[in-house]
Amino acid sequence: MSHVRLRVDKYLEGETVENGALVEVRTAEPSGRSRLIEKVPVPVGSNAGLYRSLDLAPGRYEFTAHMPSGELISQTVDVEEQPGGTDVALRGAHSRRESLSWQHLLGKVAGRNDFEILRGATRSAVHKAPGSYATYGGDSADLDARLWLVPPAAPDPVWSRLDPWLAQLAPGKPFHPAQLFPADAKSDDVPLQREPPYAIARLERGVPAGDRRAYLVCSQDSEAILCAMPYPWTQTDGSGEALVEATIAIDEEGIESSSVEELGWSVRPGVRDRRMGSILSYFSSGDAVSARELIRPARELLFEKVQNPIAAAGGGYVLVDEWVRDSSPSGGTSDSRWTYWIDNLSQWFPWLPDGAILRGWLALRRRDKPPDLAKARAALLEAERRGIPFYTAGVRRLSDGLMLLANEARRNGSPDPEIEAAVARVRRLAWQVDPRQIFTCVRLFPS
Amino acid sequence: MGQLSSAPISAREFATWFLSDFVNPSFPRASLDLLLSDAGGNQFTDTTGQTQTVDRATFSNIDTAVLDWFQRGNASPDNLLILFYCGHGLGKGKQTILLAEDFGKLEDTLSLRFAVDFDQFYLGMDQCEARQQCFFVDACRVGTPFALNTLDSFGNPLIPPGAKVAPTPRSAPVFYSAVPGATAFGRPGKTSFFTEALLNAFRGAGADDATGNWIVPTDALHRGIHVHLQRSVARTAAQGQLSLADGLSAPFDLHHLASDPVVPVEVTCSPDSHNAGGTLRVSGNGPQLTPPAPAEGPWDLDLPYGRYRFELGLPALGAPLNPVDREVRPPYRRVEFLVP
Repeated sequence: MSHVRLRVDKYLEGETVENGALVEVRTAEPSGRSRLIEKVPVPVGSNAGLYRSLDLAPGRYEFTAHMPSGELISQTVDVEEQPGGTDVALRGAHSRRESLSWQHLLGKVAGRNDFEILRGATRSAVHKAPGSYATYGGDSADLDARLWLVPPAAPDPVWSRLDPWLAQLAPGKPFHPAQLFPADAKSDDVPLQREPPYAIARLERGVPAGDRRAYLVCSQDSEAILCAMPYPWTQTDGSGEALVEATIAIDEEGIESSSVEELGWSVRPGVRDRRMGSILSYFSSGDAVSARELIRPARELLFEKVQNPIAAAGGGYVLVDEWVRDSSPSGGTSDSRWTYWIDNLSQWFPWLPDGAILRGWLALRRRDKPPDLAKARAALLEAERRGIPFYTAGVRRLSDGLMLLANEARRNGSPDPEIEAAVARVRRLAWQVDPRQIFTCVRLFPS
Repeated sequence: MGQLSSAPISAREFATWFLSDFVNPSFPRASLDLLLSDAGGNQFTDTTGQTQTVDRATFSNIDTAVLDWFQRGNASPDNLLILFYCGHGLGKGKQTILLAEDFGKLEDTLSLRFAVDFDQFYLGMDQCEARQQCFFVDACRVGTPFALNTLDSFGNPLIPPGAKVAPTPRSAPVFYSAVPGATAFGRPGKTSFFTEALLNAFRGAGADDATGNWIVPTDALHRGIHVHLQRSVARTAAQGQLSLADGLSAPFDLHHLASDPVVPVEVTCSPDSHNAGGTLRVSGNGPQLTPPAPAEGPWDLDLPYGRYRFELGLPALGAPLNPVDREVRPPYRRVEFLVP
């Protein structure tokens, strides 16, 4: 056997993401068909000393990484029996600027090649497009970002203010985001690093952890987007505080739209967590299988000590379908520690809507017991009182869970007005969220 | 909103694919219901050459067809249900409304009586015994001032959801043609971009051979659709369109390929400004290919699975570039020549 040191070589400002990508290892003999050997999590970063060890029989192999951004990197390597082993460093596309390398890994900005293609497309487009991203990108003088820190209250004061406004959302209706926040909320401008067509809002580290909710409001002209920020964020490997940031972008793919009015803009929050960063990006891109594979080794760390409850909730969304599946008669395991994990998450952190959402959803959907409608009802109503879910996946689970309860009550001939009202409110919220983002971003404008 | 010429063509193409190419030993083909709203007539010619007139896609007909479909699927947990919708949609955020042909016949929000609340419908389908379900939604998902007035009503769920659960969770991916808030582009007189990408993905880009045979599992299908959609819409007005998938946590094998997959391959110089003057030769699996140089962008090739040698000549260079030997396999391959 020959020893292989496998990693994805990517500059990440000196950091490495443990289990940052899932790599397929296949035989690649010149004659005959390739054969999948295994899929392995590998570190992503520029540190050659951090790698995944594999023992492979000598031969030719193809290593293929499906990156969280959707990029595919593949390399064919002759693995020989040699004392020092073989280094395999998969090199993918680069970000346009080194300072955007994390965002590029996590799929929040276009790569250098993609951007050149987009820019070429823009140049070749008729009339309006050429100047468009100068207007919508980071050069916009009107663009600003403001961080709000809100003390907890029940019901959540931001959600209490947001919903009535969403209910009357209409084109041209004036709105000032400050109206969403209570008098005891603290706010500050967040400096923007301009990287046209992006601008990056980085939240200052060193803010004491507490049970305040953090919201970033990004405004441009008469439009604003409210983001539920996972801030501050403790690295899930216990190594300190991770940078929390938001990439403000035009929808680059829309550059060649026939009119500037069609161009949208978006805010893409993210965390530079060395363990969870990639996992959350795989999950939000729809690749739930890769996210689940990568999170497996971190489950106990996430849920036992719950050093970072927001990360634990993210792990819960990644794993909840697997837990439901495992609870069925044909499920693969008898590991039901998740019931305690989720109950704890819901009870220990009363400011976290997502713990209660997961608790309510599991009460409805687990297969080893009949649906516990009373428990689900209490948990989901409690979740809605706690405010805007941190995760976009939470908005969906909350909406779905409440709809199930509402229909069940109607079917039984006794409609539940409290649930019906909560369904209406949460569906209004769901109408306005940006489903591409892992953390909840609410468009505060009608189009 | 007018009728879309692209939608009935797309639905016919999908139906034809299902009747002629769909293979799955675990789920033998059992039935097909087709509803069309075609200004040119509602005929469908099946793979045996027989032409029949199918029902129109009015809300009433959709309701009846979906209930019948539900009942057929309900016969066994081992059934697979597939729903393909191509047409107008409303939606934003995490809500999607599908519009029947007669949407708009009543005033304002009353028209939602002729629309489907897809989110509730999807949840409701969990009550069907069939544990494998697959949904393709090829529709715009944009909000409009009209839609903003409907925030308390999202259409008819067709199958109202309930809390009852089956012993086994279902596998039920949804493949959307466009992310919410975005326009899905049809093309007058042609299949939509998404349907074209979907059918191409079934032919190869969505395949995987992890078990030794070429199969299209639902998670790989998502990657395949994305690759083809990106290629189809590149440098067109639809460039903003991106597919989105949901419910992929428990993938299953949707389709088996009868032959080796056809794989999209992108060949380019770096920088790509050299492409237009390049001479490309591709050999290794079948006859040698010499595709013409692209006016802009890369060479977009579709090659059967296999090993290939790519050779590129550039008149501006004194010495030839090193050839590239690559295995071409799904979902796609990019071959890049670094030009000094």
